[in-house]
Amino acid sequence: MNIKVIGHYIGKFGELWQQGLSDLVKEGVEGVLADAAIDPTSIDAIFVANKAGGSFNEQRHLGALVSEHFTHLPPAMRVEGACASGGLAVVAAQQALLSGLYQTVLVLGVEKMTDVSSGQASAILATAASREKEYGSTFPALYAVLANYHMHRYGTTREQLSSVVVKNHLHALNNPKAQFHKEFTLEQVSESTKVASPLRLLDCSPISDGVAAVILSSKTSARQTQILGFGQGQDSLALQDRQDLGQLVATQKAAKQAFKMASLSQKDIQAAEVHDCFSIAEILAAEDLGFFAKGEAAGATVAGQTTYGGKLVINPSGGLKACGHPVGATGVKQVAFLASLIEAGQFERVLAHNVGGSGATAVVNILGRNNH
Amino acid sequence: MQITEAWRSNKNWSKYLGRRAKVLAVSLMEVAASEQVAFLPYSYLLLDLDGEKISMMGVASQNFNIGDEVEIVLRKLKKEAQAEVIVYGLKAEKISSLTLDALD
Repeated sequence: MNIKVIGHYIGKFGELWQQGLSDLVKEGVEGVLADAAIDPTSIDAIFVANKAGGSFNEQRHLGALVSEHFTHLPPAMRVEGACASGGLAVVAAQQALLSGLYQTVLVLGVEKMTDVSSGQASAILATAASREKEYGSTFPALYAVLANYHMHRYGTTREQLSSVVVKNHLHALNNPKAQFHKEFTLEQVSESTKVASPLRLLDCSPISDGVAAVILSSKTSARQTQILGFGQGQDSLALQDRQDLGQLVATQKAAKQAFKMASLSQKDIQAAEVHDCFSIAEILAAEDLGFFAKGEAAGATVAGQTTYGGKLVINPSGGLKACGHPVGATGVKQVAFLASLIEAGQFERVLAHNVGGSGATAVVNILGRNNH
Repeated sequence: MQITEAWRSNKNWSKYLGRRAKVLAVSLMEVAASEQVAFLPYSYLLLDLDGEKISMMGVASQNFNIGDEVEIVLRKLKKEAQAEVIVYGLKAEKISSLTLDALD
């Protein structure tokens, strides 16, 4: 597959009081064009990832909001798949390139979440669950149910959940764009404020503002990062309609497609940005992506197998947990961050995993160094 | 929950009300949406109802564990404002060992 990442940009994630939604869009467009160093008129189309601008910012029609930054006003559309919006937008862009319709496209993910109260933000985020079947729940509660089941079935412990958080906060110390640069101990995580048992405050990814963008192209380029494969999986929206609560089938489907397209296996992957919206989510992802057998990812995390020097590095950016989770930007950030690591020579084959809702939608992208 | 949603949900009452189920997974919620804050802390449950899975809130002031038996009952789903229609819906209530003994 001949698709390269010819430009990437990640803005600072966090509570960005000085920036509104339009400011973030402008920063993302200007940042990625500067990195790509291309004529802006070579952008054939734009895919905008955003979960809930209509609710957070009373701004819909984001395709036009991004396109107006270009004098030639390229066609633009918004892609929404809850927290997987970014990954889905990357997939949509890849499909458009593979169709031959376009040669160079911009994917921009953005979310401005902190202009509403935390209660309003939680309510907006909860619209990605089944409103009819999961009334009275919250996203932490849904993942807490998954955690409760995983702990009961596989013996996963509180300390193992905390070890995911400690690791990802350590990784974020080296990422200047991360929302948090703060270390935590296992005890601090395990004793943080209760949210939905067994999950506590420090098990949860934060509410964040942020923008990320990549430019993908099928044209010849000297840039080193190539898309090797991608996949998308779906499952039922509500947890109650899932066959097995111990796994996220959508992730398994997406991974199977992506590995097949890339002609690679799990042992080829050196680093992965996975969707750790909650600590249990990283454990589920590490198992459902096939890096560890069912019930073994939690122990592997404690044993240091998911950090530098281990089997593979999971969430070198700090993940959603420590880098932040501006929902629409997350899936794009994962691809942009991994591309930067490839260009820095840290890794040659990497994987991005983005999940929507409590696992109803999953996207996997596999990237690699193009050795020309 | 919009009142129209509450009305539509009523059609499920006859299917589930009074039936017994077993807890498959549970979370005790300490943080909730504004409509449910008055009930905190309360449990959110995934139940096995004769092979069918269903999820719902647990009644207030009960602790649930995996394997517990529950009965599906009618309770308030949200804290109503003074001039608002009271919204009832299905919740799970733990069947106490005393009740089970009495049934035996």
